[in-house]
Amino acid sequence: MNGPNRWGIGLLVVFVVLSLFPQALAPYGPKERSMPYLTPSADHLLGTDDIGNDILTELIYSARISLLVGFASASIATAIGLSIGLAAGYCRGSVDEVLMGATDVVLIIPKIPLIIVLAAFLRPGIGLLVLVLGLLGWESIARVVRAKTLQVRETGFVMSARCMGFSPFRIMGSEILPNITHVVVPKFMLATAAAMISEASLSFLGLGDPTMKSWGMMISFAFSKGGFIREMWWWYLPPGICITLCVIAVAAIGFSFEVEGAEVRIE
Amino acid sequence: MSALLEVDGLSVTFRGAQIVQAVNDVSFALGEREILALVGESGCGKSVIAHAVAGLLPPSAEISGSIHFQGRDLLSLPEEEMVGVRGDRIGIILQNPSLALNPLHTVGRQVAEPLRVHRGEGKERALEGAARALLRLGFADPEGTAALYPSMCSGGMNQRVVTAASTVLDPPLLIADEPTKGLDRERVAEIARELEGIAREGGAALLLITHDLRVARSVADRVAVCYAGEIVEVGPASSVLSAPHHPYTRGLLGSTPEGGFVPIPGSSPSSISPPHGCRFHPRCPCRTDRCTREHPASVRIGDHEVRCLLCP
Amino acid sequence: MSLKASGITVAYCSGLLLRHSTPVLTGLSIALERGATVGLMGTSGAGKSTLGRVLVGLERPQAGMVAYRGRALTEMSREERALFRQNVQMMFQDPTAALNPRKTIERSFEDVLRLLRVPRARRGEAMHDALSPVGLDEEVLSRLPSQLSGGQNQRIALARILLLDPEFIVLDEPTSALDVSVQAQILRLLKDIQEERGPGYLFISHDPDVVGFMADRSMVIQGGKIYEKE
Repeated sequence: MNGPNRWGIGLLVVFVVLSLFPQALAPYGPKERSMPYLTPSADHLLGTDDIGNDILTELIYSARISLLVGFASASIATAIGLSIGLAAGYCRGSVDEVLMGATDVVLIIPKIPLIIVLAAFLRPGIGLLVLVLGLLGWESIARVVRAKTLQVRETGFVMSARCMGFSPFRIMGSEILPNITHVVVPKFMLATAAAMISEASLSFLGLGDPTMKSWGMMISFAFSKGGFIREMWWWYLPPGICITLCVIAVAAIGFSFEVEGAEVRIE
Repeated sequence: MSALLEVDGLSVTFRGAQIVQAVNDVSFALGEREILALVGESGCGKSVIAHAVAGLLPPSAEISGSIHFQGRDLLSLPEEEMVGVRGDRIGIILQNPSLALNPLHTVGRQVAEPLRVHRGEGKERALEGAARALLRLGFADPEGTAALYPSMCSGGMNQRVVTAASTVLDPPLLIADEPTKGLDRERVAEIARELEGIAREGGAALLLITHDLRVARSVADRVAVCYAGEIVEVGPASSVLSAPHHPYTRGLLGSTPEGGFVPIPGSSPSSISPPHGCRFHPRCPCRTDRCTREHPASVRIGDHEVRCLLCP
Repeated sequence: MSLKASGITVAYCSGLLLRHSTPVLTGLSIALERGATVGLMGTSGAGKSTLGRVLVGLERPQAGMVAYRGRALTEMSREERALFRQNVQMMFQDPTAALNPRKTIERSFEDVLRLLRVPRARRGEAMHDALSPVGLDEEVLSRLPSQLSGGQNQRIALARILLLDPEFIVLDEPTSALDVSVQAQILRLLKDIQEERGPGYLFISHDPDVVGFMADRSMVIQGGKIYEKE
């Protein structure tokens, strides 16, 4: 594993651990309150917010939401993108035309304005967020999968499988899919990173789920509850830094998969 | 007369995820104006030998032995000096010539480059020299061709352009690595003739790496047969290819169309763990018990040198 | 019991609304019989591989038809189609792409055995029986194709095809990418198999020596048409 991958994975592991075991690592419980607006001290390393919650505790507990939204919507997007890309690339012809047409349509739809509009009609919540980000994030995955599928389709072993009468589903899943994972994994990671940023932006705009606080929500609360005015940088900076670090970690892992070493073989 | 190129006890090992012994104790000599064909199948190490002589092996390669060229041991030369030897005194023609050409420079400029770099000639004189080299390679309108870009030329033309660039300085040694791979019958014969012509005309010696025995037969003065990183037989082309001593050479000739497509049983050994004793013994029809234990040294039989325990 | 193609026309369509078409093959006919080999030659790009793919049902011609056992491909029922798929196979030139690079040899064999509904208990035996005619040891089963040589991979590809015991095999330059001695092995192997099991071959190659050795009669594709070679 080369450099970026090692750091990326290490960093991501830290955040994953935080999201899985917040109780073990946070200094206080999520509902415990002290005096509000405290500055950082030995008791509260990052101070407290407007209702007296320890900010460090909030930070640790928010990890799971941000990561969850990121990975969940990336999973949905990847699942859709894979299916559409495989089908378009394998079947070609009119199936391909229709699916790629649909892809173009989705490409045009702007995600964040759509969520803002939906939020006006539906109750903002994590489910909605994940669903919309997932349903709108698959088109570049579909394109990449389709391109690779078209390529792999013409190799000897796939043609052989078609010759032998394997069903198209079997061929797509068993022959083609394992040979395109190296392009899908980086797209998945990058989709995660993009989703995390989108979630943070939307939460900051107040469209996130108020009951499930994420890093973006923390910044939003910091803003609306007077953290910015009081220049309480220990409240709004840490979540921003966490988002940045997490996105960098995920993206680094994604990019390192894309780097394919060319080997010069001398016989 | 000492030979132009003398390779003595050359061994090359690559240490990566596994230890690969690509070349083992290879020795041969190449005289001036001589054409030596190094023949063998995939993985036998012939290309590694050529790259070793040209100094083009990666730094991770462990090389031992000596390669004496015009009296100097190339293996002891630092890279800065080797750069001066390559191109000027050793012309290298690799596979896939189109990849060797820069699509952004004209053909003429690329053929002239060695003249400018190694001989310090000015632009005009160098282009004249390039035109002469192109003429020598059969281009009817050298000045016109020199103005073209590689993308405007066919694959065959580009091949000749690369050969022109490699031979423009009339190097005393030419190395051609599988110049006819992947080409059809007529092209193979054409290229072989061209190379031979260029070598003879320029008074150069040619080390020709090839898997194609027909090319070796038509062009080479001497033939060295490579198997599992070793040279198992070397001698005059006419006798090695018609009356070989080594069982592998015999098997190889038998599996050609002319030989009746008679296969050699088994497969080439892995370079990670070659067989004990003689490396060919698992596939040899004549093997004895001794062959499984003892590793044969090269012995002289007539005008051949053969690595086989059963000879003489 | 034959495999026939008649009046095959293949053209590649491009351009807006696919209006511009470049003909590759025009009105070709070819017939294969069991136990015999027909050689197919022509310069690269002449359309030899295309005809091979049409015969095997991997490519649909713009005109003409392929008939197996007297039934046209396009008119076959599901069962007839399945029978066709089992009995007409193709072997390809590039040994590195002949097998799924992500699957061990064992898995590649298992896929076919599962397709043939061979019970799990019998599969080990079937794999052994498949490997011995091509001269390979069971130890290749645990390997990946990248760990084996070109010759070994081609032999495994052939063994896999033989699991289906096909009546016809289209061989598209099966030895062009192989060393001289390995080519001799594969050619001998193909001949032995034809003697033992009697499949009909369409042997596609640009090498006249190889075709001369393998084929009973030869055809040449030139200018989109096919001619019998004298």
